[in-house]
Amino acid sequence: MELLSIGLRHFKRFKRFEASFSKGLNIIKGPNEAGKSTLQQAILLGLFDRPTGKQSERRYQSWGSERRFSIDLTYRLPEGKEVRIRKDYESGECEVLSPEGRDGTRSGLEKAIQAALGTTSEKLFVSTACIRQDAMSAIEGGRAEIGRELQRIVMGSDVAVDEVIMRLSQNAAELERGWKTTAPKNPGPVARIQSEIKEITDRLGRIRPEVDGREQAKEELLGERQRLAKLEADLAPIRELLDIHTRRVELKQALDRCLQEEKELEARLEKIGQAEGAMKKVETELCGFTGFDRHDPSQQGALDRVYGALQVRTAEAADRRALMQELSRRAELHAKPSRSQIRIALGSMALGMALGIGCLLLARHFQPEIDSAFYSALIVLGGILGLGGLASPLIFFLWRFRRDRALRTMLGEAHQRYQEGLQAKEQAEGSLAKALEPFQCHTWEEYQQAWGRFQQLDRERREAEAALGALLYAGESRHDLSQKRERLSRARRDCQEQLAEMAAIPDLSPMQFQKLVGERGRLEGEMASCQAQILRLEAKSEGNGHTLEDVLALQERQAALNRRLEHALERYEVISLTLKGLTQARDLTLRNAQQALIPRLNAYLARLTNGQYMQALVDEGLQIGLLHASKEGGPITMEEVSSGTQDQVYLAARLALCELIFEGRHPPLLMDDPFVKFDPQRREAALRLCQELAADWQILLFTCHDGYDPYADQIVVLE
Amino acid sequence: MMIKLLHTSDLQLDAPFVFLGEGGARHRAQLRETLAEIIRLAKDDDYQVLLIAGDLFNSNRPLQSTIDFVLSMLASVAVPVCILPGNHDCYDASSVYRKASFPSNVTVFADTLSHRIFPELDLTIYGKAILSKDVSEMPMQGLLRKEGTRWHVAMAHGNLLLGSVENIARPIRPEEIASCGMDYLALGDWHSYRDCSQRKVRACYCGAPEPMAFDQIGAGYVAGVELQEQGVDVQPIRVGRIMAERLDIDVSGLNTAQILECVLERSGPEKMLEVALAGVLPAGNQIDVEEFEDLARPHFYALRVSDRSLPSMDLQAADFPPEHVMGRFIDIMQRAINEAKDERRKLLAKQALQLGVAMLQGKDSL
Repeated sequence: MELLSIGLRHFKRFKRFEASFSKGLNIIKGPNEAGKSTLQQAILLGLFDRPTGKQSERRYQSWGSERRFSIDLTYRLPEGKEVRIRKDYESGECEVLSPEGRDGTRSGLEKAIQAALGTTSEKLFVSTACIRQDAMSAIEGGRAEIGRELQRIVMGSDVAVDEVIMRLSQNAAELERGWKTTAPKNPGPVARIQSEIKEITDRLGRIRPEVDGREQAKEELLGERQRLAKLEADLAPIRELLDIHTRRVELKQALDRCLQEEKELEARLEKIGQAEGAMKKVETELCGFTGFDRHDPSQQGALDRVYGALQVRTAEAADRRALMQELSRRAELHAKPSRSQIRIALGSMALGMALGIGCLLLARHFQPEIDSAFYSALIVLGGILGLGGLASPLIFFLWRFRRDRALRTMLGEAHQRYQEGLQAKEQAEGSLAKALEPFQCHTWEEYQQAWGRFQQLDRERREAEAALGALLYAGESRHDLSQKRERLSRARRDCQEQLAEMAAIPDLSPMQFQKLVGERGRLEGEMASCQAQILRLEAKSEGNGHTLEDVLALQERQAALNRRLEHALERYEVISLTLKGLTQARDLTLRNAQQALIPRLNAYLARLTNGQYMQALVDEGLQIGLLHASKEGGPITMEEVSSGTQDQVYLAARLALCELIFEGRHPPLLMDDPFVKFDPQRREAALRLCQELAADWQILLFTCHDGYDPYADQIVVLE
Repeated sequence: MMIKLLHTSDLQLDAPFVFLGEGGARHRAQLRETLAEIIRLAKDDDYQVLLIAGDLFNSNRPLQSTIDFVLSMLASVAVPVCILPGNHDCYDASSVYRKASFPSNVTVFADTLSHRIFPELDLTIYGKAILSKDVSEMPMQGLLRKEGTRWHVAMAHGNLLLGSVENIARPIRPEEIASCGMDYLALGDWHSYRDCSQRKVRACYCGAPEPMAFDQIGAGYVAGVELQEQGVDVQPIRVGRIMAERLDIDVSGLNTAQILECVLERSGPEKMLEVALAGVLPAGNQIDVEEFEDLARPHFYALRVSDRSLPSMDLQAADFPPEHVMGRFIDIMQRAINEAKDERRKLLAKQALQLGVAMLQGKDSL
């Protein structure tokens, strides 16, 4: 394309500016502050910008002007078609005027620029077709490095792509640490989340069976309870039948017991009645006795002693009377001797005399034959016996006399003693009468009889009481027995009524009973087993372990971690994709640039250095080394050459890049005096190169020097 | 005589809330509080019957403490309570309704089809319990009105067949509703309030009293039903504390702070907000969802952000010609996006494009 003219209104220092350009090398010259950079800005805005009405556009507005600026740019396309782009930032209008007509759309503008420059990218245009003094200065001042700068241009990015790739790699490595790479001590976020998820999964693996087991136990518990309820339901009618049967048997037994007890009670009550009647009769009779109820053994002893004394006195009186009578009888009897006594007295006298004579006769008869002593004895004996015989009647009379006298004396004494005995007896009788007075008995016999009767009655009463006591048990009374009889009667009636009520329910046969007992036993056994199982399941289901809440919390925590993991993995995928794409793009870009750049760079370098440097060594990272034309020595680095040479290498590289990037298209090259540091020879070489290039490229060379004029096809002077 | 019924369903007590992460326990506690709120409403507003049309529990294995809590709550309300086992707490062999001993005012419709007459209210309530997890259960099959009382109310737990949808679990056909002859049909299984009346039969899903997921925007209600001679009046009554909302943000032209500001405008301790980011983000402005959620979450009951925003597509040719690394990278990633086998891979490739562009522009996006 060929820029033909530019018209500016209210653009910075240009209130009104018109400039025309020609094909070839255009030198735009002017002193400092003349507006060279402003014009460059205006050209770029005229090409790439579009009015938006934003406040930021005011920074280009002329100082003191109320109106916003406008740019009017005309260019010719290679095929000869002229196009005018008019941008009025006051009205916000932007239009492209071409032989095809007017187009005020964004796409129309882009289409026109694309056709003119081969790109709509201002960035690309600026980084290739605009060779600015400040970029050269940065290279010279060491603030930029050609290789990196070229890379930046080739890459089209102000950021070092390698650094971006390195950062992405670091991030990917960080995410991979402990996940795809081993890092047990310092795992990355993915590994940490995975580890936490695993830990939760393990915990869930441990807890869930426990919780499930408990829940299972609950369900089994439910089943067992239902089974128990069914067993109870099955057992209930059997129990009822057996209970009825048992109840019936018990009622019958109770009824029998009631009847028996009632009978016994009736018998007891009858006996009690009899005992009570007997006792009443005895007590009535006992009421007729006075004083006996208080008659104690000491009183009885005294009475016995009184009565004993009376007996003694009576006996004594009787004895004395008998003695007196005996003595009287004996006195009467012995008042004249009896015949026997006379016979005895006479006999004794006859016998004595007979014996005395006999003894004398014997002594005489046997005198010769017997000794004298014996003889004398016999004579004496005969004499004594004879005398004795003679004296016996006397002795008899004497004895009689003495005996009569003694009898009379004794009789008198006996009479006196008899009288004394009578008196003592009367006194004893008085004492006895006095002693019997409380018993209303006049005689001892009467007393004895009454006392005997009283004792008999008292004994009978005791016997009756004992009999009553035997019939009334401890603490019982007849009233109690009556109540008991009533109770028994009621119980009997109850039993009878209940039995009557049960009469409708058929009684069980022994076989039926046995069968039901067996069934009951079986069901109760099952129930016991069921209850044991329920207890076991209750214990299992009511443990203090983990709960469903714990499981839910872990699941939710796991879900949160899964989401984090998902994010992290997505991030990793994004980073990996970015890394892959970017690496691929960088490698491709650099490889293409390197291959295309080297021949062009070498050609321009040789021209600009007047053959001093023939070859540039460009690596894959677009780092440049140089080879001398003389081929002496090895390659030298950019740091080893002068700043002017560095500028020339940079200019050669930029020109090569323009060729490389625009590939046959020829946008205008805007050069902001890139030859400042060139020595005169190399500046001339550069200007001549520009002249040659100007055959294909329109060049707008901005400078404040006049030395470029001879090479210019058109000179535009800025005042 | 007017009869007042309170209709709720789908409390799903003891449900796991994996979408809430570690906030699940709090939401379970909230559900209990909401049940208490429903009971309080039934008492305070003199409702005569409380209907629970399925899924009172999330499973047949709830915590014992939850069962005890429910029993105490139900015992505290003096009015009759009718419970229909749903698909979550179906009346199978291990049903929670077999394990728990419910108070005398509670009727659990345990059989395939049963009804309970409330003579004092001149009302018959019908229920057909879900007996298994089998999706082919027919919640309305055989549910027909019997004569005997003035009012007839039924409960069913299933999915209303809408349009041409087929093969749905526990289907309820509109014609089944229309022909059942009930004065009111209390439906459960759907978590949002919806009037499904057919011809003369009033039928409603009361919805879950609290949202069970981010997308349950219509949850949080019970249905207050008044049976009157003039007709059946059904009103949704808000009992839920948590409000599920969805916020779609077109992030084009916004930065993270502005997006956060948009999100925080909807903040509240009772808000369960799902934020869907869409639109085109300039390269380098992409959002770290996890970081963004951590930043905003303290201002909400629960928050979930899904980022479906795309990097600005004018990057590809205009600013970055294909000769440059940026252009090549964009080209490579565009090809990766186009060749992606599924949406997920496509999105990842787009995010990779976004990240690469941002980093090439010198923005610290890692």
